[in-house]
Amino acid sequence: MKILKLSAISYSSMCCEPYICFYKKLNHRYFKCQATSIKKSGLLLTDTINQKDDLETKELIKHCSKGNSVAQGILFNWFYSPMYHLSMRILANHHDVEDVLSLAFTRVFSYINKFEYQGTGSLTRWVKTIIINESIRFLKKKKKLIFYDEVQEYNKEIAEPVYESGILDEEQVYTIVESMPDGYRTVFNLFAIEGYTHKEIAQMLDITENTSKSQLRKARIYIIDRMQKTKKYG
Amino acid sequence: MDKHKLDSDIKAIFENSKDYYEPMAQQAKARIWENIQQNEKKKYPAYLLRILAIACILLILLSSGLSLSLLNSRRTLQRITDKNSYTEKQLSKFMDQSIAERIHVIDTVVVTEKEYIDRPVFVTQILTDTVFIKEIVYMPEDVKQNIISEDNTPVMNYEAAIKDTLSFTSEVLIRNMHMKEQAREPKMKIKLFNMRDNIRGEAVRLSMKL
Repeated sequence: MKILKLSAISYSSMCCEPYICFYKKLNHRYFKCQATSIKKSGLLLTDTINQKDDLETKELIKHCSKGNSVAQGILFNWFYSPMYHLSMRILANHHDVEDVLSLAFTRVFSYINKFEYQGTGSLTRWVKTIIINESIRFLKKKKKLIFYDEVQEYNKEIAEPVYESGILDEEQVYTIVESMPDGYRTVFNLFAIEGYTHKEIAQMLDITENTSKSQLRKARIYIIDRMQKTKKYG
Repeated sequence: MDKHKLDSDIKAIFENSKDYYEPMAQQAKARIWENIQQNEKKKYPAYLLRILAIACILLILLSSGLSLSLLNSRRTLQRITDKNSYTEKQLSKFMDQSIAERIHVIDTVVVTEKEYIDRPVFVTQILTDTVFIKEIVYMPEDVKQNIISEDNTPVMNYEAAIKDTLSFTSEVLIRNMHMKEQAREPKMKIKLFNMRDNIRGEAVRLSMKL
Protein backbone atom coordinates (compact mmCIF):
# COMPACT_ATOMS: atom_id res chain seq x y z
CA MET A 1 0.00 0.00 0.00
CA LYS A 2 1.29 3.36 -0.87
CA ILE A 3 1.23 6.14 1.58
CA LEU A 4 1.01 9.40 -0.20
CA LYS A 5 2.15 12.47 1.64
CA LEU A 6 0.46 15.45 0.17
CA SER A 7 0.17 19.00 1.14
CA ALA A 8 -3.23 20.32 1.89
CA ILE A 9 -3.22 22.57 -1.17
CA SER A 10 -2.55 19.77 -3.59
CA TYR A 11 -5.32 17.80 -1.99
CA SER A 12 -7.88 19.59 -4.06
CA SER A 13 -6.16 18.70 -7.29
CA MET A 14 -5.88 15.07 -6.40
CA CYS A 15 -9.08 14.14 -4.82
CA CYS A 16 -11.38 14.80 -6.07
CA GLU A 17 -13.78 15.02 -8.64
CA PRO A 18 -16.24 14.00 -6.05
CA TYR A 19 -15.35 17.15 -4.20
CA ILE A 20 -15.49 19.54 -7.15
CA CYS A 21 -19.08 20.49 -6.64
CA PHE A 22 -18.41 20.70 -2.95
CA TYR A 23 -15.38 22.96 -3.39
CA LYS A 24 -17.21 25.26 -5.70
CA LYS A 25 -19.75 25.89 -3.04
CA LEU A 26 -17.13 26.57 -0.47
CA ASN A 27 -15.63 29.94 -0.05
CA HIS A 28 -12.07 29.61 -1.21
CA ARG A 29 -10.76 31.20 1.93
CA TYR A 30 -12.84 28.88 4.05
CA PHE A 31 -11.46 25.87 2.20
CA LYS A 32 -7.91 27.10 2.66
CA CYS A 33 -8.50 27.53 6.34
CA GLN A 34 -9.84 24.05 6.67
CA ALA A 35 -7.07 22.59 4.61
CA THR A 36 -4.52 24.57 6.58
CA SER A 37 -5.89 23.32 9.84
CA ILE A 38 -5.58 19.77 8.65
CA LYS A 39 -2.06 20.47 7.41
CA LYS A 40 -1.11 21.95 10.75
CA SER A 41 -2.42 18.89 12.50
CA GLY A 42 -0.01 16.83 10.51
CA LEU A 43 -2.68 14.77 8.92
CA LEU A 44 -1.41 12.81 5.96
CA LEU A 45 -3.54 11.84 3.06
CA THR A 46 -3.51 8.20 2.25
CA ASP A 47 -5.27 6.51 -0.55
CA THR A 48 -5.84 3.46 1.52
CA ILE A 49 -6.38 2.79 5.14
CA ASN A 50 -3.09 2.42 6.93
CA GLN A 51 -3.55 0.41 10.03
CA LYS A 52 -0.46 1.78 11.69
CA ASP A 53 -1.42 5.45 11.53
CA ASP A 54 -3.29 5.67 14.77
CA LEU A 55 -2.40 9.29 15.27
CA GLU A 56 -3.69 10.24 11.87
CA THR A 57 -6.88 8.32 12.50
CA LYS A 58 -7.43 10.09 15.81
CA GLU A 59 -6.83 13.44 14.21
CA LEU A 60 -9.20 12.61 11.43
CA ILE A 61 -11.89 11.51 13.85
CA LYS A 62 -11.38 14.70 15.85
CA HIS A 63 -11.79 16.92 12.79
CA CYS A 64 -14.79 14.94 11.55
CA SER A 65 -16.46 15.34 14.94
CA LYS A 66 -16.11 19.10 14.60
CA GLY A 67 -17.91 18.94 11.26
CA ASN A 68 -14.88 19.67 9.16
CA SER A 69 -16.08 18.84 5.67
CA VAL A 70 -12.56 18.33 4.35
CA ALA A 71 -11.88 15.76 7.06
CA GLN A 72 -15.20 14.12 6.24
CA GLY A 73 -14.14 14.01 2.63
CA ILE A 74 -10.90 12.31 3.58
CA LEU A 75 -12.72 9.76 5.68
CA PHE A 76 -15.15 9.15 2.85
CA ASN A 77 -12.28 8.68 0.48
CA TRP A 78 -10.61 6.22 2.85
CA PHE A 79 -13.53 3.92 3.19
CA TYR A 80 -15.52 4.38 0.00
CA SER A 81 -14.11 1.60 -2.23
CA PRO A 82 -13.95 -1.21 0.34
CA MET A 83 -17.40 -0.34 1.65
CA TYR A 84 -18.78 -0.25 -1.89
CA HIS A 85 -17.46 -3.78 -2.47
CA LEU A 86 -18.83 -5.00 0.83
CA SER A 87 -22.24 -3.52 0.21
CA MET A 88 -22.29 -4.82 -3.36
CA ARG A 89 -21.55 -8.36 -2.16
CA ILE A 90 -24.59 -8.20 0.12
CA LEU A 91 -27.03 -6.27 -2.07
CA ALA A 92 -25.87 -7.31 -5.58
CA ASN A 93 -27.43 -4.15 -7.07
CA HIS A 94 -25.53 -0.93 -7.85
CA HIS A 95 -28.51 1.38 -7.38
CA ASP A 96 -29.27 -0.16 -3.99
CA VAL A 97 -25.63 0.24 -3.02
CA GLU A 98 -25.71 3.97 -3.82
CA ASP A 99 -28.72 4.47 -1.58
CA VAL A 100 -27.24 2.42 1.23
CA LEU A 101 -23.85 4.13 1.13
CA SER A 102 -25.43 7.60 1.18
CA LEU A 103 -27.37 6.71 4.30
CA ALA A 104 -24.51 4.80 5.89
CA PHE A 105 -21.90 7.55 5.53
CA THR A 106 -24.40 10.14 6.73
CA ARG A 107 -24.81 8.02 9.83
CA VAL A 108 -21.03 7.67 10.15
CA PHE A 109 -20.55 11.44 10.13
CA SER A 110 -23.49 11.91 12.49
CA TYR A 111 -22.24 9.54 15.16
CA ILE A 112 -18.48 9.83 14.76
CA ASN A 113 -18.41 12.27 17.68
CA LYS A 114 -19.59 9.40 19.90
CA PHE A 115 -17.04 6.94 18.53
CA GLU A 116 -14.23 5.99 20.86
CA TYR A 117 -11.05 5.06 19.11
CA GLN A 118 -9.84 1.77 20.52
CA GLY A 119 -6.76 1.09 18.51
CA THR A 120 -5.84 0.00 15.04
CA GLY A 121 -8.74 -1.23 12.97
CA SER A 122 -11.45 -0.10 15.35
CA LEU A 123 -12.60 2.66 13.03
CA THR A 124 -12.67 0.25 10.09
CA ARG A 125 -14.72 -2.26 12.06
CA TRP A 126 -17.07 0.46 13.20
CA VAL A 127 -17.67 1.76 9.68
CA LYS A 128 -18.07 -1.81 8.37
CA THR A 129 -20.67 -2.55 11.02
CA ILE A 130 -22.64 0.51 9.99
CA ILE A 131 -22.49 -0.45 6.31
CA ILE A 132 -23.59 -4.05 7.03
CA ASN A 133 -26.43 -2.95 9.29
CA GLU A 134 -27.65 -0.43 6.74
CA SER A 135 -27.51 -3.08 3.98
CA ILE A 136 -29.51 -5.55 6.07
CA ARG A 137 -31.99 -2.85 7.04
CA PHE A 138 -32.39 -2.00 3.37
CA LEU A 139 -33.06 -5.66 2.47
CA LYS A 140 -35.60 -5.98 5.27
CA LYS A 141 -37.32 -2.80 4.19
CA LYS A 142 -37.58 -4.08 0.61
CA LYS A 143 -38.72 -7.44 1.97
CA LYS A 144 -36.01 -9.20 0.08
CA LEU A 145 -34.76 -11.30 2.96
CA ILE A 146 -36.67 -14.52 2.53
CA PHE A 147 -35.18 -17.53 4.20
CA TYR A 148 -36.12 -20.57 2.22
CA ASP A 149 -36.16 -22.75 5.29
CA GLU A 150 -39.68 -21.50 5.84
CA VAL A 151 -40.76 -22.53 2.37
CA GLN A 152 -41.71 -26.20 2.48
CA GLU A 153 -40.59 -27.15 -0.95
CA TYR A 154 -37.10 -26.10 -0.07
CA ASN A 155 -37.04 -28.07 3.16
CA LYS A 156 -36.01 -31.23 1.46
CA GLU A 157 -32.63 -32.46 2.52
CA ILE A 158 -30.22 -32.03 -0.33
CA ALA A 159 -27.02 -33.98 -0.47
CA GLU A 160 -24.05 -31.73 -0.37
CA PRO A 161 -22.07 -32.02 -3.57
CA VAL A 162 -18.39 -32.57 -3.45
CA TYR A 163 -16.34 -29.41 -3.69
CA GLU A 164 -13.27 -29.47 -5.84
CA SER A 165 -10.86 -26.67 -5.16
CA GLY A 166 -9.24 -24.91 -8.03
CA ILE A 167 -12.32 -24.73 -10.18
CA LEU A 168 -13.16 -21.24 -9.06
CA ASP A 169 -12.98 -18.39 -11.49
CA GLU A 170 -13.18 -14.80 -10.25
CA GLU A 171 -15.82 -13.79 -12.73
CA GLN A 172 -17.85 -16.91 -12.07
CA VAL A 173 -17.72 -16.45 -8.34
CA TYR A 174 -19.00 -12.89 -8.57
CA THR A 175 -21.73 -13.93 -10.99
CA ILE A 176 -22.81 -16.86 -8.83
CA VAL A 177 -22.79 -14.80 -5.62
CA GLU A 178 -24.82 -12.05 -7.27
CA SER A 179 -27.34 -14.57 -8.56
CA MET A 180 -27.85 -16.26 -5.19
CA PRO A 181 -31.04 -15.62 -3.24
CA ASP A 182 -30.67 -12.68 -0.88
CA GLY A 183 -30.92 -14.84 2.24
CA TYR A 184 -28.20 -17.25 1.12
CA ARG A 185 -25.94 -14.45 -0.03
CA THR A 186 -26.30 -12.43 3.15
CA VAL A 187 -25.59 -15.34 5.47
CA PHE A 188 -22.71 -16.56 3.32
CA ASN A 189 -21.07 -13.13 3.21
CA LEU A 190 -21.49 -12.55 6.93
CA PHE A 191 -20.14 -15.94 7.92
CA ALA A 192 -17.63 -16.85 5.27
CA ILE A 193 -16.23 -13.43 4.33
CA GLU A 194 -16.82 -11.16 7.32
CA GLY A 195 -16.31 -13.81 10.00
CA TYR A 196 -19.51 -13.41 12.05
CA THR A 197 -20.71 -16.35 14.10
CA HIS A 198 -24.07 -17.95 13.60
CA LYS A 199 -25.26 -16.46 16.86
CA GLU A 200 -24.35 -12.95 15.73
CA ILE A 201 -25.88 -13.54 12.31
CA ALA A 202 -29.08 -14.80 13.92
CA GLN A 203 -29.30 -11.65 16.03
CA MET A 204 -28.65 -9.37 13.08
CA LEU A 205 -31.17 -11.05 10.80
CA ASP A 206 -33.76 -11.93 13.45
CA ILE A 207 -33.54 -15.64 12.70
CA THR A 208 -32.52 -18.71 14.65
CA GLU A 209 -29.04 -20.17 14.66
CA ASN A 210 -30.31 -23.27 12.96
CA THR A 211 -31.78 -21.17 10.18
CA SER A 212 -28.45 -19.42 9.80
CA LYS A 213 -26.63 -22.72 9.58
CA SER A 214 -29.16 -24.06 7.15
CA GLN A 215 -28.88 -20.99 4.97
CA LEU A 216 -25.10 -21.25 4.93
CA ARG A 217 -25.21 -24.90 3.95
CA LYS A 218 -27.64 -24.20 1.18
CA ALA A 219 -25.56 -21.28 -0.02
CA ARG A 220 -22.55 -23.53 -0.33
CA ILE A 221 -24.55 -26.17 -2.13
CA TYR A 222 -25.87 -23.48 -4.46
CA ILE A 223 -22.38 -22.17 -5.25
CA ILE A 224 -20.88 -25.61 -5.82
CA ASP A 225 -23.82 -26.71 -7.90
CA ARG A 226 -23.66 -23.63 -10.08
CA MET A 227 -19.92 -23.87 -10.49
CA GLN A 228 -20.18 -27.46 -11.56
CA LYS A 229 -22.90 -26.63 -14.04
CA THR A 230 -20.90 -23.71 -15.38
CA LYS A 231 -17.88 -25.92 -15.76
CA LYS A 232 -19.93 -28.60 -17.41
CA TYR A 233 -21.94 -26.47 -19.77
CA GLY A 234 -19.68 -23.39 -20.07
CA MET B 1 -20.02 -26.66 10.71
CA ASP B 2 -18.48 -24.97 9.76
CA LYS B 3 -15.39 -24.09 8.29
CA HIS B 4 -15.33 -25.14 4.69
CA LYS B 5 -12.68 -24.85 2.13
CA LEU B 6 -15.13 -23.18 -0.19
CA ASP B 7 -15.48 -20.28 2.23
CA SER B 8 -11.76 -19.59 2.39
CA ASP B 9 -11.36 -19.92 -1.39
CA ILE B 10 -14.13 -17.47 -2.08
CA LYS B 11 -12.79 -15.10 0.57
CA ALA B 12 -9.40 -15.17 -1.05
CA ILE B 13 -10.94 -14.42 -4.43
CA PHE B 14 -12.78 -11.43 -2.99
CA GLU B 15 -9.69 -10.04 -1.32
CA ASN B 16 -7.63 -10.39 -4.44
CA SER B 17 -10.23 -8.70 -6.62
CA LYS B 18 -11.02 -5.51 -4.77
CA ASP B 19 -11.04 -3.60 -8.01
CA TYR B 20 -13.81 -5.74 -9.48
CA TYR B 21 -16.53 -3.14 -8.81
CA GLU B 22 -14.19 -0.14 -9.05
CA PRO B 23 -15.43 1.35 -12.34
CA MET B 24 -19.02 1.32 -11.14
CA ALA B 25 -17.91 2.61 -7.75
CA GLN B 26 -16.06 5.55 -9.22
CA GLN B 27 -19.03 6.45 -11.38
CA ALA B 28 -21.28 6.56 -8.34
CA LYS B 29 -18.81 8.27 -6.00
CA ALA B 30 -19.71 11.86 -6.89
CA ARG B 31 -23.42 11.17 -6.65
CA ILE B 32 -23.03 9.46 -3.29
CA TRP B 33 -20.93 12.30 -1.90
CA GLU B 34 -23.47 14.85 -3.06
CA ASN B 35 -26.23 12.89 -1.37
CA ILE B 36 -24.19 12.80 1.83
CA GLN B 37 -23.65 16.55 1.72
CA GLN B 38 -27.36 17.16 1.17
CA ASN B 39 -28.18 14.89 4.09
CA GLU B 40 -25.74 16.86 6.21
CA LYS B 41 -27.40 20.12 5.23
CA LYS B 42 -30.84 18.71 6.00
CA LYS B 43 -29.74 18.04 9.56
CA TYR B 44 -29.18 21.71 10.30
CA PRO B 45 -32.71 22.84 9.49
CA ALA B 46 -33.92 20.03 11.68
CA TYR B 47 -31.72 21.31 14.50
CA LEU B 48 -32.85 24.84 13.81
CA LEU B 49 -36.46 23.74 13.87
CA ARG B 50 -35.90 21.92 17.13
CA ILE B 51 -34.22 24.95 18.63
CA LEU B 52 -37.04 27.16 17.38
CA ALA B 53 -39.62 24.76 18.79
CA ILE B 54 -37.87 24.69 22.16
CA ALA B 55 -37.58 28.48 22.11
CA CYS B 56 -41.28 28.82 21.31
CA ILE B 57 -42.22 26.46 24.11
CA LEU B 58 -40.02 28.33 26.54
CA LEU B 59 -41.48 31.62 25.37
CA ILE B 60 -45.00 30.35 25.82
CA LEU B 61 -44.18 29.08 29.29
CA LEU B 62 -42.51 32.32 30.21
CA SER B 63 -45.33 34.47 28.89
CA SER B 64 -47.94 32.34 30.64
CA GLY B 65 -45.99 32.61 33.86
CA LEU B 66 -45.69 36.36 33.48
CA SER B 67 -49.37 36.77 32.64
CA LEU B 68 -50.36 34.67 35.67
CA SER B 69 -48.18 36.75 37.93
CA LEU B 70 -49.62 39.90 36.36
CA LEU B 71 -53.16 38.68 36.94
CA ASN B 72 -52.35 37.83 40.53
CA SER B 73 -50.81 41.23 41.10
CA ARG B 74 -53.83 42.90 39.51
CA ARG B 75 -56.16 40.97 41.78
CA THR B 76 -54.09 41.96 44.75
CA LEU B 77 -54.16 45.59 43.66
CA GLN B 78 -57.91 45.44 43.14
CA ARG B 79 -58.37 43.94 46.57
CA ILE B 80 -56.23 46.61 48.13
CA THR B 81 -58.12 49.31 46.24
CA ASP B 82 -61.47 47.90 47.37
CA LYS B 83 -60.29 47.70 50.94
CA ASN B 84 -58.98 51.20 50.69
CA SER B 85 -62.25 52.57 49.36
CA TYR B 86 -64.13 50.63 52.03
CA THR B 87 -61.86 52.04 54.66
CA GLU B 88 -62.40 55.53 53.28
CA LYS B 89 -66.16 55.10 53.38
CA GLN B 90 -66.02 53.80 56.91
CA LEU B 91 -63.86 56.72 57.89
CA SER B 92 -66.16 59.25 56.27
CA LYS B 93 -69.10 57.54 57.93
CA PHE B 94 -67.47 57.72 61.33
CA MET B 95 -66.55 61.30 60.71
CA ASP B 96 -70.11 62.11 59.73
CA GLN B 97 -71.37 60.42 62.86
CA SER B 98 -69.02 62.34 65.06
CA ILE B 99 -70.01 65.62 63.43
CA ALA B 100 -73.66 64.76 63.86
CA GLU B 101 -73.16 64.01 67.52
CA ARG B 102 -71.57 67.36 68.03
CA ILE B 103 -74.30 69.32 66.27
CA HIS B 104 -77.20 67.49 68.03
CA VAL B 105 -79.49 68.03 65.27
CA ILE B 106 -82.09 65.55 64.91
CA ASP B 107 -84.20 65.73 61.99
CA THR B 108 -87.35 63.91 62.11
CA VAL B 109 -88.77 63.12 58.92
CA VAL B 110 -92.34 62.16 58.97
CA VAL B 111 -93.44 60.39 56.03
CA THR B 112 -97.10 60.42 55.50
CA GLU B 113 -98.26 57.76 53.41
CA LYS B 114 -101.72 57.90 52.21
CA GLU B 115 -103.21 54.61 51.97
CA TYR B 116 -106.43 54.36 50.18
CA ILE B 117 -108.40 51.45 51.33
CA ASP B 118 -111.42 50.59 49.46
CA ARG B 119 -113.82 49.13 51.93
CA PRO B 120 -117.37 49.91 52.96
CA VAL B 121 -117.74 52.41 55.72
CA PHE B 122 -120.36 51.73 58.29
CA VAL B 123 -121.76 54.82 60.04
CA THR B 124 -123.72 54.19 63.09
CA GLN B 125 -126.44 56.68 63.34
CA ILE B 126 -128.49 56.77 66.49
CA LEU B 127 -131.93 57.93 65.79
CA THR B 128 -134.36 58.76 68.58
CA ASP B 129 -137.85 59.11 67.96
CA THR B 130 -140.58 60.56 70.15
CA VAL B 131 -143.01 58.03 71.34
CA PHE B 132 -146.10 59.23 72.86
CA ILE B 133 -147.59 56.97 75.47
CA LYS B 134 -151.04 57.57 76.82
CA GLU B 135 -151.46 56.38 80.32
CA ILE B 136 -154.72 56.27 82.22
CA VAL B 137 -154.32 56.35 85.89
CA TYR B 138 -157.02 54.90 88.04
CA MET B 139 -157.22 56.36 91.46
CA PRO B 140 -158.69 54.57 94.51
CA GLU B 141 -161.72 56.19 96.21
CA ASP B 142 -160.03 57.00 99.44
CA VAL B 143 -157.66 59.11 97.67
CA LYS B 144 -160.23 61.10 95.75
CA GLN B 145 -160.97 63.32 98.70
CA ASN B 146 -157.48 64.46 98.78
CA ILE B 147 -157.46 65.49 95.24
CA ILE B 148 -156.25 68.98 94.71
CA SER B 149 -156.19 71.07 91.68
CA GLU B 150 -153.22 72.23 90.04
CA ASP B 151 -153.05 75.48 91.77
CA ASN B 152 -153.13 73.65 95.08
CA THR B 153 -156.69 74.55 95.95
CA PRO B 154 -158.89 71.81 97.19
CA VAL B 155 -161.37 70.53 94.78
CA MET B 156 -165.01 71.11 96.17
CA ASN B 157 -166.84 69.40 93.45
CA TYR B 158 -165.51 66.03 93.92
CA GLU B 159 -167.40 64.40 91.16
CA ALA B 160 -166.52 67.01 88.74
CA ALA B 161 -163.00 66.74 89.91
CA ILE B 162 -163.11 63.04 89.48
CA LYS B 163 -164.34 63.46 86.01
CA ASP B 164 -161.82 65.85 85.31
CA THR B 165 -159.37 63.60 87.03
CA LEU B 166 -160.49 60.76 85.05
CA SER B 167 -160.05 62.73 82.03
CA PHE B 168 -156.65 63.75 83.02
CA THR B 169 -154.17 61.79 81.37
CA SER B 170 -150.66 61.71 82.29
CA GLU B 171 -148.49 62.18 79.51
CA VAL B 172 -145.29 60.44 79.52
CA LEU B 173 -143.22 61.76 76.85
CA ILE B 174 -140.26 60.05 75.47
CA ARG B 175 -138.58 62.71 73.64
CA ASN B 176 -135.61 62.80 71.34
CA MET B 177 -132.29 64.01 72.41
CA HIS B 178 -133.03 67.59 71.51
CA MET B 179 -136.01 67.60 73.69
CA LYS B 180 -134.30 65.76 76.45
CA GLU B 181 -133.63 68.80 78.45
CA GLN B 182 -137.12 69.89 78.13
CA ALA B 183 -138.55 66.55 79.11
CA ARG B 184 -140.22 66.48 82.35
CA GLU B 185 -140.66 63.55 84.43
CA PRO B 186 -144.26 62.67 85.00
CA LYS B 187 -145.33 63.58 88.41
CA MET B 188 -148.31 62.48 90.23
CA LYS B 189 -148.91 64.93 92.96
CA ILE B 190 -151.60 64.34 95.46
CA LYS B 191 -152.05 66.81 98.20
CA LEU B 192 -154.15 65.93 101.12
CA PHE B 193 -156.41 68.42 102.86
CA ASN B 194 -156.23 70.96 100.23
CA MET B 195 -158.49 70.93 97.30
CA ARG B 196 -158.73 73.41 94.64
CA ASP B 197 -161.57 74.45 92.52
CA ASN B 198 -161.28 74.07 88.85
CA ILE B 199 -163.23 77.17 87.82
CA ARG B 200 -161.40 77.94 84.82
CA GLY B 201 -161.99 74.46 83.61
CA GLU B 202 -158.38 73.92 82.99
CA ALA B 203 -156.86 70.56 83.43
CA VAL B 204 -155.96 69.93 86.91
CA ARG B 205 -152.67 68.47 87.30
CA LEU B 206 -152.54 65.88 89.83
CA SER B 207 -149.31 65.34 91.41
CA MET B 208 -148.53 62.90 93.99
CA LYS B 209 -145.60 63.05 96.17
CA LEU B 210 -144.33 59.69 96.64
